[in-house]
Amino acid sequence: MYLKGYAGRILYIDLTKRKYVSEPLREDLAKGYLGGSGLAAYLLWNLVNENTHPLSPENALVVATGPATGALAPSSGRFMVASKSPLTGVWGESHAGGSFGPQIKYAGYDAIVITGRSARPVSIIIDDDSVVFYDSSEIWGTNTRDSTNHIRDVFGKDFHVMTIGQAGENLVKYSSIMVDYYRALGRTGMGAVMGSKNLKAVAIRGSKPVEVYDPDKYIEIMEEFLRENTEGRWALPAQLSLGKYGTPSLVTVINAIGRLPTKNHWTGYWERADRISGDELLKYRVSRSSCFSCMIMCKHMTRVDGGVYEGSMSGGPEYETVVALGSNLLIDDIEAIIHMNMLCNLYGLDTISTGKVVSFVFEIYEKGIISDSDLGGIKPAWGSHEAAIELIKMITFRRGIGNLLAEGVARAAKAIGRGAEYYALHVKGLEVSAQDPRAQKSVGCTWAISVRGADHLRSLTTVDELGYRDIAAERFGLDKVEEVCDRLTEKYKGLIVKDQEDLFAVVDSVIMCKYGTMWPPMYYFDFIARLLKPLTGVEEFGDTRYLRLLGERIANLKRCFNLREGVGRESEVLPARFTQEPMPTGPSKGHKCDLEPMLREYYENRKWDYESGLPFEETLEDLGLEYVARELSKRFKLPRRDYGNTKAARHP
Amino acid sequence: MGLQSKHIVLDLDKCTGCRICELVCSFYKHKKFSPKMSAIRVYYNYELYRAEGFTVCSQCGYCVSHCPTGALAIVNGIVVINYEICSGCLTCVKTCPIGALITVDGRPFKCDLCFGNPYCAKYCTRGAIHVS
Repeated sequence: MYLKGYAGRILYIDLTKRKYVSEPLREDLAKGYLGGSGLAAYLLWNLVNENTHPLSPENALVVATGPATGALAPSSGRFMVASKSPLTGVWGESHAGGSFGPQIKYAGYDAIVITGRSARPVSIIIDDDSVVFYDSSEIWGTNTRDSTNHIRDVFGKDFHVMTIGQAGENLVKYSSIMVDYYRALGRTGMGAVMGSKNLKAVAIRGSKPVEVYDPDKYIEIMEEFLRENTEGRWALPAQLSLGKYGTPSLVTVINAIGRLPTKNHWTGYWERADRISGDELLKYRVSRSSCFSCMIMCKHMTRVDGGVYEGSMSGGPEYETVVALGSNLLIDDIEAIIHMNMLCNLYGLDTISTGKVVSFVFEIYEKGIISDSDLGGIKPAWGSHEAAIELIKMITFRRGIGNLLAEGVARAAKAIGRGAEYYALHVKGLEVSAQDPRAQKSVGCTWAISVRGADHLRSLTTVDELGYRDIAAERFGLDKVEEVCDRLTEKYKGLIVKDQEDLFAVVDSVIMCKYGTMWPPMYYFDFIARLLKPLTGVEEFGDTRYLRLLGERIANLKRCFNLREGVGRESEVLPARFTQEPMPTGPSKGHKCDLEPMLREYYENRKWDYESGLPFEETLEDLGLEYVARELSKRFKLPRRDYGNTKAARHP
Repeated sequence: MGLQSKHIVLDLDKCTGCRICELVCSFYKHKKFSPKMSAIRVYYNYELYRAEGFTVCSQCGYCVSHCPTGALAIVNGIVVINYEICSGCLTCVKTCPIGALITVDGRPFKCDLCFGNPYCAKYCTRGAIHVS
């Protein structure tokens, strides 16, 4: 294989037959889909279809790295898993940092595809070319810390481990996979996919090098990377916020613009936010860590000494966790938040979804939709961490109402009925993340169009949130700066969300972190192009226009994946709370989110037909997705934009 | 001789386990990225988020006296390998008291402080690596 940067092989593991085979990574796949999220999208499109049940042996779990993984690109220690999500039934993907991803590459694989279902609990131990199926009946039922320790005790401390806890085993629909103790593949229930396969853990270590096409040129890029991170424009801001506090530094900043989800997203401002701020959390910090090959170093570990929650210790909590389990529940006891974060990590639960499920229970109890008899003794009052902790345990072990709540907020609300749906805040079944579309209009579009549901990581923009006028001018033109930088207007938000979705499609495939691309907005298509060409030797990757095309292709493919499942534009709606209820308090008071104009603009820029919610046939043809168009046209009549000319005429 | 020599030191309290030092070392020396090909190796505890130790040549010169071909020499206090003389017998790798020498592509490899300006220290933005 002449492509550098890649490991060059894909490992296919069938758990039913306990067989594995490694195949070369096809060159056209690397060139056409980059790696990571793009590669996973292509593989999953072919591996599963609309008849595949997410928890069946036929569903595939794709673990993927990108060309930059393990090659000292900025913040490139990440990897991703993708599968059909048991929570939403559509495209599911989740990314994690740490040091697991590079080990996949060093073991010689760009991706690992796991299918089938083992008859007994099993773990997969990968050591370069050798793959061992390790009987894990003994550790089935243990939490993520104990199972990680067990694997590392048996096989060696230099193994990196991703494992599920009890939540994943019990098929909680939003269970996570924990990587090296504290890194979470949190969203869309990837843990349940592992659980359904009777797969407890995957451990890996590698000893092979990653080669570079043009080392001399690549050194220049690395020097630039070093300069950016030590003396560049963003170096100091990043170190003073992310570096010093980690992601919880956001709590104060976000509260100041009235976007801090509070009381099940009732409002966006909380007077007691300073009690859960980064400064407060700093008092509990015991150490600081970083992902592989990252100079931002935002990961922290906290420990509680003394008090009710003495001894609680875990990586994080991150911003999303602090909000989901803090302000969102009106819990201002930071020690309780640290404790709940630890519990979620140990059980293997997504903290975002868990927090939103608990706040849903709190609110429908307050509104009288459920009563004490439904709850088995818990008193869900706002601010009650005792109740929240009990609910977390009930969800993990599917006890009492926990069995219903473990299905996710959308299914639970439907089963409860009596108007509970109004308080279930989700898009496509995925619980909303810690933003608010009323205080930042683009978030509404981001949530609505995101392929995995109400999630910030597929296209969250910061130019409007923080008003970076120079960057807005550079990317979208001087004439649009005013509107783009105004977070409270809907205008041009469809445009910038589409642009960001394409960028993140590339970033998620390369794979780099959102820190560096989302905030600080240091790296854009041009940097990635300069990075990829000397790394891989692929001429096209050096062309920004080609990278944009790849971004569009990957974004379109994932959208079409959902369309094949029958989930299209009718699912792109926001919970009524954000479109009907004006923000009651705080700096963004009085605002609502008007989704429709943003969606129209998004469809316009995406070159999809807003009326039917389908892609134009030409759009898919232009992106080299003819096979997708063919398959979709079995079910839908794809609209054509009447250009009256052929592909060749459109692109002379 | 050994005590006066310059060598790389890692401040464990400052280290965050990013392993950029290992990547930079392998890349500048071998044009490849591999922590297994690095002259400096960090042992990081992922459960406690703490660096627990590191291995890098202390330039003590023990290997010099054991090299059968005389390929190892001390130049300005730094132990260097002359690959033109080295027979690849790996005696030095076996005799190193701290396991700092490793084998890369069948030949011994060790830290030579990049002749005064170690890249690992340059790239350590936390300032955990310095020459002592």
